[in-house]
Amino acid sequence: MDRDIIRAFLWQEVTFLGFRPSGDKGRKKWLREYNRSLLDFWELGDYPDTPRVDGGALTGEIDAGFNLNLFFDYSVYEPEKFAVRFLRASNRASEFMWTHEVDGNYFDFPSRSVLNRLDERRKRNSALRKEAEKHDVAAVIDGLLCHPRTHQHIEYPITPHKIRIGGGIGNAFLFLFHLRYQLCLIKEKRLAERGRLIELFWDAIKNKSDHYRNELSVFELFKKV
Amino acid sequence: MKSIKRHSFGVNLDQGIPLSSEWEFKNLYVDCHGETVDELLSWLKEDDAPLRLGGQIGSGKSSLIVKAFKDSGIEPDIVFQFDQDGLNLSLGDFLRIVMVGFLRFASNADMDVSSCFLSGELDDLFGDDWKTGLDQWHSDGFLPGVYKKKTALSQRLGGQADYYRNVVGAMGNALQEKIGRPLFVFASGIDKYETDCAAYFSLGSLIRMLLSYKTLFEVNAVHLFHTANEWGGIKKRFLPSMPDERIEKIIAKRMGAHAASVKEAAPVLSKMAGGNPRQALRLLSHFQSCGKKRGAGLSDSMAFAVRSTTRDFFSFAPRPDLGIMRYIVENGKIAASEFSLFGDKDTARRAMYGNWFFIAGDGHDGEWPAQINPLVKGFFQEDINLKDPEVQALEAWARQVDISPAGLSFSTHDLSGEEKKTGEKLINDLFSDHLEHPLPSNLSDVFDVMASVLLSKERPDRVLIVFKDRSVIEAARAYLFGKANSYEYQRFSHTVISGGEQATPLRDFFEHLQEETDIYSIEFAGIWTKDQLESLDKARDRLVDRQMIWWIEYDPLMKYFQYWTQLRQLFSVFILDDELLASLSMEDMENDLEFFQEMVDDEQTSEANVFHNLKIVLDYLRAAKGAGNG
Repeated sequence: MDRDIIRAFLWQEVTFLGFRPSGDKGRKKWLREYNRSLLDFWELGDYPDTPRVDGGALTGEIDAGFNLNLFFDYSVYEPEKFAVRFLRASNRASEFMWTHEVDGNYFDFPSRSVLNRLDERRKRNSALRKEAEKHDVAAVIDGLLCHPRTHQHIEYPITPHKIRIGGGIGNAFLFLFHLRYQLCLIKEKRLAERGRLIELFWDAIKNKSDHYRNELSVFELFKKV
Repeated sequence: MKSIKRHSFGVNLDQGIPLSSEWEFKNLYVDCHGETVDELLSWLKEDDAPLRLGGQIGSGKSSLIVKAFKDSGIEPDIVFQFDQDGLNLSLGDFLRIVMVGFLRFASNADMDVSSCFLSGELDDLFGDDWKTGLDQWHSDGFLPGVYKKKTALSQRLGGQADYYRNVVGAMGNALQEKIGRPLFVFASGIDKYETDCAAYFSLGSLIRMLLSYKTLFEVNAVHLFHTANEWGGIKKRFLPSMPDERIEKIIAKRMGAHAASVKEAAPVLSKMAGGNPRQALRLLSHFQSCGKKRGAGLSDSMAFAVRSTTRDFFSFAPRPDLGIMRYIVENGKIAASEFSLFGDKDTARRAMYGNWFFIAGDGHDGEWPAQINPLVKGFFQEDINLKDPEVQALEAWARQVDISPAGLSFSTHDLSGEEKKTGEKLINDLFSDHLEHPLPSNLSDVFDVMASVLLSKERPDRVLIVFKDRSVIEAARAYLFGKANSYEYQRFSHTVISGGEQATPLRDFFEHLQEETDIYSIEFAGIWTKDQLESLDKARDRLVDRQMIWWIEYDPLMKYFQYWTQLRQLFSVFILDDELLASLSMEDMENDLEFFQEMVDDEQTSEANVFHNLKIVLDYLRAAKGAGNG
């Protein structure tokens, strides 16, 4: 089978398993765990404040710390309707840099619908899963999180070239998770995290029943490396 | 002792507790006293005579001693912690500490020395078998029954002090004879005693007794200059303040992979630390905690760091003699003869003990290089001298980080972004007198600064909150307890401990610490006596693994701080604004509650703690608002 089709299938699966928490409670839990995980993953001095509900959105504010002099805040209305604002911490006060905004009301290439059609659901899911290999999951993790094909380097003030901000990510949870990886300055942690994610999703996909579409536990998703 | 969880690569801040683990020495230790370490190692391996190792508070004595033990592979036979096992700081307590230490060593080495020297007179306390239950006499036994027994033993020993001093002396000599080599004793905690306090006087006779062994005495610098005869003529070694570049290295190591973010600020922080590593760490922590607030500029963070550290260590502390301090400002040195004056609370010894100035190197011809602690320089100096190294470092930093386009006439914004500040104003902010007028904080500020501590079980730091208006305290406590559970389930236990002539606050205090909880919240009530306050001050190192919030009213605190030179080293101090409403909005509370409400599945969870406590705060705010409207 075409590797691209296998990876497209995995792309969907990984997104579903980790980055489409269901229901209001699930999203709150995901975001709280997300905020909590940053202290350890970035090895900062402080936890960020907990997320809040504000004007119908789940909001949070993150100090991306220290060397980057960068803050960002997020407002998530729906997985495909959200905004992340980036602010530079300067000598005087913080200055807005840019906003990554996704408005799901507008048309985009309907990759999910197309794949579902192609998939013929249960018959082909099993076959795809059987043919998928770990390096396929690795390629998907890279494309989604660690090295998105379409990305920006913010030359200043985010100077490290290894930081790639994925410009085409339309899912709030995926975008935040990829920021978590990209804004980590510790190469050992990045490396370990990439390996952990590949193992985590590989296990989840291999062990998944066709009949259950369980999300990964947020505690697994944000487990310390 | 519970150890702090450390990050492998990133930030590792704390309130300046001694390093202890292999990892900490490998990754956080900076060799600042190479010559002293070599001498200490040589002494450990080859010398049998006692030694005094002294340095000022926060100079790194304890870390250096542990490092020497690790490097040499030589551990003391017996450790006496004179600051950690006493309650009333009496001769009886000190005798008990030494006696129990000797007995424990004998027990571990399977030697029976008791029958030779304890001819039955303590059987009612020790029981038939002196080895049984030795642990209960040691260290943290503050359960009610144990406390009574310990007190009884101390009183018995203190009642016949001369006799029992001979008994324990003979015990030590017998042990030394039995092991066939000099008994290696580490006498720690003497550094917590000022030379003119009654407890130190009591300790003197035991110090003299311990001179018979290979004893390492951990002392404050004042004990090295103290000419009293308890020390005889034993060797001494002094740890002076550290060079700036070493302090900068400590700062870089503490920031780990994030060190670049403080590269420009480190020279200023280092200068303001005056060569004292603990002071440097506190400045760094405050600098970081302000810097994480959106809208805070670098100049705000620097001013905040200096003000907050000054408040932590010096606000309301008894002032040293102005003449001595001005002499040091003008001459950069102090005569050793200044340290031998007796009876005057304002002497140089008091100033050195309180870190009002730092000794910067070894003395020559009776004079020692010294510098005023940069944090309090503004109080003793008529005008700010623009050629002072701290001012010059600040100016260089300001230029580097683009605050200053033109030397000291640079301008920047304050937090609100409205009011212009001049460079002179910033320098004035840093060097003006914050001692008697420390700035108050609102509750939200307290939480912002202490978030790293309160939110995590892995940072057992301590906060002291000073309040004027008792009516806000319950809501303030609920706010902090609720916020402390933002991410981790943290149990908290609140108690009120009363001091006074008829009270037993120390016993109550340590009994409270026996509770299984994560955050110990203690409100100080009544009027604690001088002895009670001094005793608590000496217990500083017993609190280093506890996460604590202390609540003290403003007026008595000014008195308490006079006796808490040691204790306040391990606390961040906040003076709470009277007006709780000023910093907490109902809307914020409602937003927080809406976020957490749905997630409360079980009562014993962080979510439930957040929800219930913030609900108390919201109710308070509603009632207060209602009352205001009425």
